[in-house]
Amino acid sequence: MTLVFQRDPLEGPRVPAGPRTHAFVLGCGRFPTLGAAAERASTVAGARAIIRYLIEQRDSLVAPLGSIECLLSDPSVAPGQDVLGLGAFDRDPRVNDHVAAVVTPNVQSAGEAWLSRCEAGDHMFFYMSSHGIADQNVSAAGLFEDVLANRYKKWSASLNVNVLCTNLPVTQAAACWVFLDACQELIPALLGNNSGLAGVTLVDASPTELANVQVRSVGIAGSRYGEKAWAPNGPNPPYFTQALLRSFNSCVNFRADGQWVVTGDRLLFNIEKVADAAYGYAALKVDSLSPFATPPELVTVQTPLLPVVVRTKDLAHMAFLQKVTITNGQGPGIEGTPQLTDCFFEVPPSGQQYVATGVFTQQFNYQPAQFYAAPCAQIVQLCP
Amino acid sequence: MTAPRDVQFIAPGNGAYRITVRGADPTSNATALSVAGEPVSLALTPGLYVAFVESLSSPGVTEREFRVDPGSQQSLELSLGGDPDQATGSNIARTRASAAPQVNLKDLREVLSHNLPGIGQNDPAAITRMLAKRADGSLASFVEAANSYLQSHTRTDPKPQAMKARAFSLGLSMNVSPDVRGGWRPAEIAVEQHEAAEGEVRLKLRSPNPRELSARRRLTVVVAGDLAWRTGLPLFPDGLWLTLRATSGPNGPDVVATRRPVNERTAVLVGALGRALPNEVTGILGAATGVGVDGIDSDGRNLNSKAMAALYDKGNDPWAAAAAALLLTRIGKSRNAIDWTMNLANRFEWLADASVAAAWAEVADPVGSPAEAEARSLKRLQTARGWGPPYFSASNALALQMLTSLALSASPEVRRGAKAEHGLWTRHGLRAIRGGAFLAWELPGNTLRKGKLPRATYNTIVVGEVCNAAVHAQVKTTSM
Repeated sequence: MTLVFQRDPLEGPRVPAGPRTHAFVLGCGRFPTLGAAAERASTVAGARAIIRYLIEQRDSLVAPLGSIECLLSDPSVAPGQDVLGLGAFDRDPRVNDHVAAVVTPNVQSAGEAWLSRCEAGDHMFFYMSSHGIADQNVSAAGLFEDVLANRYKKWSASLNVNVLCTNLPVTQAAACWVFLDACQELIPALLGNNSGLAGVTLVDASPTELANVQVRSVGIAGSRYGEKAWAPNGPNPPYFTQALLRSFNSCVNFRADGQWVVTGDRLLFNIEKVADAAYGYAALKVDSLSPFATPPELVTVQTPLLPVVVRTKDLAHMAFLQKVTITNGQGPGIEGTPQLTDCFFEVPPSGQQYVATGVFTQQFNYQPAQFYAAPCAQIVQLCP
Repeated sequence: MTAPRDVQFIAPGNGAYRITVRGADPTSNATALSVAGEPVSLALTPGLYVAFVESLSSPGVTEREFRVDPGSQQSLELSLGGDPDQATGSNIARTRASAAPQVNLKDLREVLSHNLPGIGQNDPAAITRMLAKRADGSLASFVEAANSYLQSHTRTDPKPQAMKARAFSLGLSMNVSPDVRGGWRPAEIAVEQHEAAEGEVRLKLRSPNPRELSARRRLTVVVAGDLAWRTGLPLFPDGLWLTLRATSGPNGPDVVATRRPVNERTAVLVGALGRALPNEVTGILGAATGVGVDGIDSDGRNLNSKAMAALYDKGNDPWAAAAAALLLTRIGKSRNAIDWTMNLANRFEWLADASVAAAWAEVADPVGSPAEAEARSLKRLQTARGWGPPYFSASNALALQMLTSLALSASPEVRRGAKAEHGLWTRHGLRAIRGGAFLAWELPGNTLRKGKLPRATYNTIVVGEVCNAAVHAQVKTTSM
């Protein structure tokens, strides 16, 4: 079973009418041909976290959630035993918690089902977390569980995410979201091959269609070309996915109707900053999969909170920083206790000016620092 | 409820700026686009606000707090000042592929055992636990912190070479025989040095002969011990600003070279290639062609004949015209200007960027069979590549996107040709330096790693040293 959420009947009109968001989420952490060292529980955790988010926000999405196609290859269970593991939720069409694995035939069939639901004006949402490779054509691909299974087409069990990102708008979707949390490692065998990746292509687009389509995908990868993505050992989502989910609360614009809304342009340019301000993940490098994006809206946020991190200019002095207080001049202010190199806060995006003041265990001449509570995140440096 | 007042915002410069106003009352928040120095008005209720000004030509952002007072109904003019194009944050730092963070853990343990409260010299386990904790969260942030700690607290500098000033040079060359390999020779160019901020060098580069547009010139930057990098040098009629600043790179002090057309309308076009949102592009094109909002159809979506006529008149500045054509391509509207784009590419065949735009125009509304149009599109891209890398990053991205699509063509010949062409285009892409509207790429291997450029091939216009805070340079000025 690959369909895990279904708002509307497969046949007949939508009630209520209007655009829907159709999601395709893949988490692959089991790779029998790559050995035990290649197993990644975090990739499956990332996919589960994204699905949980989509289900929780199903009515807040700018185009309400219409369906989720899901494939998981969980290294903690044997092939064929994969489950979603999110508990019960409504509009789940499955008879049990089983989900299909991330293998080539399933990706093709689930991908086709996902695309077949798209009507003009819908939103298409794609997320994949797995091992990844890149070829000389600067294409990034996520790997499936059956990678290397075909000895004559070793990398064919993969999805070229760049091509998906480029071609997805020809579905006439009003917005296309493509997120890849995977490495983009260069494989020498592929670099010498002019035909590049021979992986699964879900959408073909003619050059004429491409030249005239006026929607461009928002495509973001959690690694840069030729570089690695990172994930914690254990059951937590990869760092990019953590930052992406946090950004779904803080990469907001204020809309004329009084709603805060997450937008594509905010996401494109601010996830790295959010990762640093919310978690101290200064190493996270994010790349756009599509050079030009149309800036659609993803989801309305009732109570957005901006991550704020306060640090001393000389990070070594963080060891002597006892506490930090931030205040907007109204009320007593918020106190924070520093961790090794970060002192984290959260504030609403009021646009108000705040002042951050540090208290040290030794005599330092650090001055209070000002910042504005403006989206999407604030990195505040205390200077002498 | 107090009536809103019209607040007129005067942009900090003649570029394109996205102005976002936020106040304590979120219903008063607003965004507007200012192009080419045109003031914009927003109706705001009395209160305290912050205006954030984002440049579309660079990643720079400035902010300014202001108050709208109740009382008279006169509009309030607010000059935003502080051009974000000139802000420190607008430096387009290049990233070097080899910049892997490293830290000397042995030094770190020694330093921490002396200085960090709560961890004694005989408690290596505590240090190990702390290291593990950081590595679990973000290894690189830990490394950054640890290196900073080491640099400021140790008796032995852990990375002394990183602090040392480094020699650098900038040189120009031009291809005097494009059909033969090895035709690059020193290029003459008019160089004027202008007043700059402390520690910076600001030059205006102009063509020595405005009629000689097609000779391809390139700028090469070498910093001792690092990979040299190179970029095409567009000869805008009004010239090009070249600003040199110091930055801290992975191998020590490094030079950031920011390029910006002198003509502000051209700067708007070029900057918008990478940073403008599609819904802003029509307005930017209207402003950049000089017809402003009058050049936009009443539905706000298309350029009207007046604006198109202005575009046709851009033949004296082919780079600006190519930027306009690429912008139309970017937003899926190359169909609106097919003839103009084709003419531009035919007239300036040597300008790879115009050919890339024409490759998209060929298939936008195909004449003849789709396979014929795709073959012509491929030919345009082959021609473009034959003239060398394009000037704009956007051209490179659009060429690769079209080649990816052509590689799935129904025609086997087009398919085969597109795959081979894609491989050739990506050679530069693999070494591309991120950031900025202009394409730049690093040179492989040990080429030119001593910070000097050979006279036989380069006209060295700047030599100097870069330290962490400043660029110290001698400039070979030439007026023509």
